[in-house]
Amino acid sequence: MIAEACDLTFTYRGSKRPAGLPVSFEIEAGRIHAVTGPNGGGKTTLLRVLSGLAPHVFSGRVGGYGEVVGSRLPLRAGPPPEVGVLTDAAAAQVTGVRSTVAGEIGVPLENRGWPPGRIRQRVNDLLASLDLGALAARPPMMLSGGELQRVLVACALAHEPRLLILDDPMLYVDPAGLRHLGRLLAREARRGRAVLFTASCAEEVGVLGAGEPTRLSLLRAPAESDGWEDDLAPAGTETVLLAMHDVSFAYSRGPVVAHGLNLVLRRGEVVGLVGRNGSGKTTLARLALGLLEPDSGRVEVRGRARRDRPASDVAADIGVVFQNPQDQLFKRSVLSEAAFGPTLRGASREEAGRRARAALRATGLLRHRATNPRDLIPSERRLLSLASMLAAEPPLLILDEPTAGLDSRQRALVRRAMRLWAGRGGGVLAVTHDLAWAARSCDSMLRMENGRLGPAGPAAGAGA
Amino acid sequence: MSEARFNARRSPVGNLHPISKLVVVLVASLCALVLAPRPNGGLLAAVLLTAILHGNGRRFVQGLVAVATPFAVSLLLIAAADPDSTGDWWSVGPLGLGPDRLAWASELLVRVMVLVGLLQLYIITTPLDELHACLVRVGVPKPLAYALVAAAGFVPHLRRRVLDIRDAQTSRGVRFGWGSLGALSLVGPLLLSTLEEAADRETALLTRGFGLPGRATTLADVTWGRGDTAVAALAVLVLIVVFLTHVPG
Repeated sequence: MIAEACDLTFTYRGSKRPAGLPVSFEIEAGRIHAVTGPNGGGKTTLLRVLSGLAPHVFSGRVGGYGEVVGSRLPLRAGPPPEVGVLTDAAAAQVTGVRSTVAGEIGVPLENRGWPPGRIRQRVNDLLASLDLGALAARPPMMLSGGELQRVLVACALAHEPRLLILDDPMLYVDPAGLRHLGRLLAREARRGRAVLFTASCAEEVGVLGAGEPTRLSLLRAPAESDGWEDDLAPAGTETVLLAMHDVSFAYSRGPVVAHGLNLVLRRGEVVGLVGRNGSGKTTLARLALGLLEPDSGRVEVRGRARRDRPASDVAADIGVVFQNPQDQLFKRSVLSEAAFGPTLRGASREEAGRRARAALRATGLLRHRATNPRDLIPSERRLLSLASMLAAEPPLLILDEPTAGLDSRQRALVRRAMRLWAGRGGGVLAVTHDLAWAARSCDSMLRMENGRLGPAGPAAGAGA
Repeated sequence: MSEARFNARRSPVGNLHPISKLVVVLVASLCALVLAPRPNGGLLAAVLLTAILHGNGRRFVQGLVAVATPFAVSLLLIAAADPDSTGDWWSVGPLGLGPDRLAWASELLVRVMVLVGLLQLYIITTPLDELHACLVRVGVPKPLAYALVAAAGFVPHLRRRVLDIRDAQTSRGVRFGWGSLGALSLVGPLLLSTLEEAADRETALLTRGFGLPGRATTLADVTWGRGDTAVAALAVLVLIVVFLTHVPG
């Protein structure tokens, strides 16, 4: 037995109630265990307690009984050396003191005093197992979200821990990357390690293809369902919202990430854009908005050449939800954050408030309207970013990984919002790795491969 | 398996040992503080040329201008208010503008630009892995070595974060000019995310074993070559010459 718990709870300092329900479980060596349940149910908290980050970093009180690799909970000294951890704040786990991906993966081994030859061997093995060889000499901060996630899993696994704790390891990772990840975890389990990972969506658990893991469900009564009111509608009447003609782009001293892209997105359409990590999908969204200028070709937004307009102007026509939504949040309450877009475009205070409430209702966040956006959990921050775009009523929505970290209910909310937006005359481009969700939610799908766009097979979204 | 994957991109300046480069930077900084205006102009040109040869000319100039601009404005204001200056072209009340005032401000500005440029050049030409490896090998404790290297990487990291947040806010329709809204929408998320990152970074260090007892090893291959000896010797020689010729007594 690697770990066990009986009626385990954790109450954060300043909170009156424990985060999530008391849980009891046993974690065996050589097995993969999945923790599932709705967001806000205590999955991340459970992993923090088992890894020793709570109460060492996250202050609070552990209730019940628990033991991890022979140490009784709480682990006040932090993570034991026999435990490998990937936390939910993945991007911030880059140490910032290594110039290459290979160097970053070697950090935990250097700190354990491994000889350089052995470190190189282990790092090369992990790079090959996770199909990261081509990225080995790249700076970690220049990776796409999915690439970085795989690198951080490699970092957590590098020192061959007895217990590997991964918080949402599938976040942003493309299907090919998930297959590699699944194979690696299965191999490590065969070698006697215990693996514990969380998944926001119960359906995701099988996606790793690492056999059938032992499931541990953290159930919580679902929050009351919010409705969609007839309060929001995309602006304008033009048929074509976004057109790209033969657009090419390369980053300075980098590879070409867009080769002659041709794309037309019309009102009423929900288009899914899929492709491998680093294939240029996010770049396409930035080209559309004007955050990047194409090296050649033409971009038109609502029939007007985009080149003549600053990105802040184009934002009235295209609302973009980025992978990292917290870069947009700076207001003191969820309601004022959602009302920011309409206010910026000249809506009266009453009108902005009305539209903000409608958008929050559509995304299930109305009950959080007085909360500080920074106090929301990551999945709710993503929904807030979508709400603030809906409230601004741009005709076209570009959603970059809209379902990343979202649970089943939240995914359904995003899907409904997209379908209704298109139904009211808007257009949606959803950049995603979630093929199953995209197939259910989109009218058509495009695939981006090595900077080129092509069809990606039929999607069933219109009728769904 | 190629060793290149464990080491960052190279250039002639980047190939130098971090310590020999540090000696050059320290000597050049001392020279900039001691020497008269004209050699400082030459020093600034040399720093700029080195940055261009390393392949970072544009980014280097952008960074230098960003730091130098507020300095230039402050120095001009101070010079304009100097009551002892004479021969002004133009004056109003206690403020004036003339060749003496401009010469004083420009001399100081060039000096500041040389110092900032040298620091910037060191940061962009020194892979963080190698700097960290040097510190660990001379016995600097793991947390302190991390803090020093992280400090060297902080400015580029901050620059990246500012660009990310600016893009995110632009996509909402925020215009970045002199208005307070643009500044607030940039500074607010930057400040909050920096605080959050600090906490997240603490967990990252814990999970990567920075707090574990025992001496760390290093993967980065840092060796002291003949070129390093020559460069360091030349720097020391320059320091001696400058000391003998410019320090009175």
